Amino acid sequence: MLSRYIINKKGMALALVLMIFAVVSIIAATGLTIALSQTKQSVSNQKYVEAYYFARSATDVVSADLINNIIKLNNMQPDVNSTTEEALTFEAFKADVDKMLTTSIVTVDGIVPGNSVQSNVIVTNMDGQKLVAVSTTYVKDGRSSTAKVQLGMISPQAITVSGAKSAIYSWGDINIGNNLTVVGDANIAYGGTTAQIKDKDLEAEHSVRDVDFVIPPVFSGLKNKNTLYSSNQNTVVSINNTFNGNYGIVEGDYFNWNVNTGLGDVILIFNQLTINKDSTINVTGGNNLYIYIVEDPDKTPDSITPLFDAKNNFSVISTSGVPKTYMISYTKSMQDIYNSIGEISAPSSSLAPLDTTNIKNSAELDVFFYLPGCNFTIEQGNPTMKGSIFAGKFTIGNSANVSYQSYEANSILSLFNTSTSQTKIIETFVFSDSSANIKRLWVK
Amino acid sequence: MKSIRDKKGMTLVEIVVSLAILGIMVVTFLSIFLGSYTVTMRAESRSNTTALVAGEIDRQLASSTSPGVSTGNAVIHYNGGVTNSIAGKNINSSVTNDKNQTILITYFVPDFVPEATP
Repeated sequence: MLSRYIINKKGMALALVLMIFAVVSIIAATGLTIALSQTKQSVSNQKYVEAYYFARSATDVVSADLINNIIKLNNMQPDVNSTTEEALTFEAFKADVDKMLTTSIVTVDGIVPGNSVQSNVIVTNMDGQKLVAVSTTYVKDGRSSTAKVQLGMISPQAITVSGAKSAIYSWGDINIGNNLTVVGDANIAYGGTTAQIKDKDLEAEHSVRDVDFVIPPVFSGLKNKNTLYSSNQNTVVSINNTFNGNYGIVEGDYFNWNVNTGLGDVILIFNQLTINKDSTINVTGGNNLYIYIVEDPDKTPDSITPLFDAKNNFSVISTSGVPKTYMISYTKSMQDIYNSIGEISAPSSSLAPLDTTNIKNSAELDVFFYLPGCNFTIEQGNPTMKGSIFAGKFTIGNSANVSYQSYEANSILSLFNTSTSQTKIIETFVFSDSSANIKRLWVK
Repeated sequence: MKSIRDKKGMTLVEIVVSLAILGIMVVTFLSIFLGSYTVTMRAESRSNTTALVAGEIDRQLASSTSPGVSTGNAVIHYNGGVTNSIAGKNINSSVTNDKNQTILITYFVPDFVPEATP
């Protein structure tokens, strides 16, 4: 009744129009504000992304420069008692390198020719193997952007292995059954005290090799309780990426798991990798698949014991025919040893393999194994293997078939050799399953 | 019939004035809304293009055969007056979208060629 009374008053039309006008104006202003805010956000995002890549570039530059100069310094190493000009040059250069390594903030110019981009890289952790840096980039061409990036760079471990041409090498004892076939320019060597090879056509070379871990491997970020769930026909596609989780493939038998390395190396890091029977990993693409089995760096009581367990008839097959898969494991026992004394020369009583890698029956493996702390066991059956096997101790049943290609075997050594080291940037991982769900598991 | 004709109603002038005011309001606010929509679409397009270019630069970085468009030197200044220069190449990724916005990301890849150990 009151509203009807008010509406019937003279002049109410004007008031009504003004009220509607005010409401619509508020709506319009709100919409305009939101639109402009989105525009500012998109421009800011663009500047951030540009600056982020400048920051990453700067971190790459600093790490490359540091590593180059450290290697150069290591290569010089003149006689410390010498008073020659060479020794003086060495001392001066060593002093410069010391300054580099103790610098907390490094400024980088010239990342983008023609533009003024300056990055400050704050080195927060440089232990020779791992560089974690926070890089802040200032773009001075009229824009003002700052990006921070934290990168964990894992350099390969400095392992010196003399003599690369081994299809099978055991740092400890070796025990091989009948009918082992080794194809290629390769041999069988061991560093332990006993070698038992039942096949008379083969004999093992006793070749003691140093295992020089300058710094134990450091893998950060293995705190997630992720499980790489794998059902049949899943596909992993990667661009220089990493999956880190506590468990590996655990679901189902008879699955086919596809790894496409066409876009870059695929790096998978697990505490445990269990593969059920009659399963196959098909590796396609021109790059490599790296599977690391490592311990939880936190070493809590709940930490999972590193384990790689492949059940019967497991296969890793490269479609190209050339092994493209590297399985690398540093076990808990090995890390403890390296942490305590820093350097081991095999054979050593302390180099007792405590963890076992079992390959059972009819395995077909196009894989390079680098398992210095593992008791590598190929049980009875008729496995066919391409690529080299480096392990702490060997037990191989009858009828193993090892096909060896030396040039590829050298590449696994280069992974661990600083003279031809590669720097793996652990950054992102994209896991795509058959239903095209995308999961980003590694946080920048 | 007479009673209907005697009823008071709006005059023609009132109707014309009302329509004029309504028209001004509609035109004004419609243009604001349309402008906001256009600006929002441009922002979305810019964000999408930025993500596309970032993905492309990641792909190039992952590819060992990605071509560098130019070479140059990055200069690194450490504390204590130590200044180094490292050569490298620039990798560019650029996309111009349908809104005529060009997003360019440049990455400097240093030449990492460690000297061989003796």
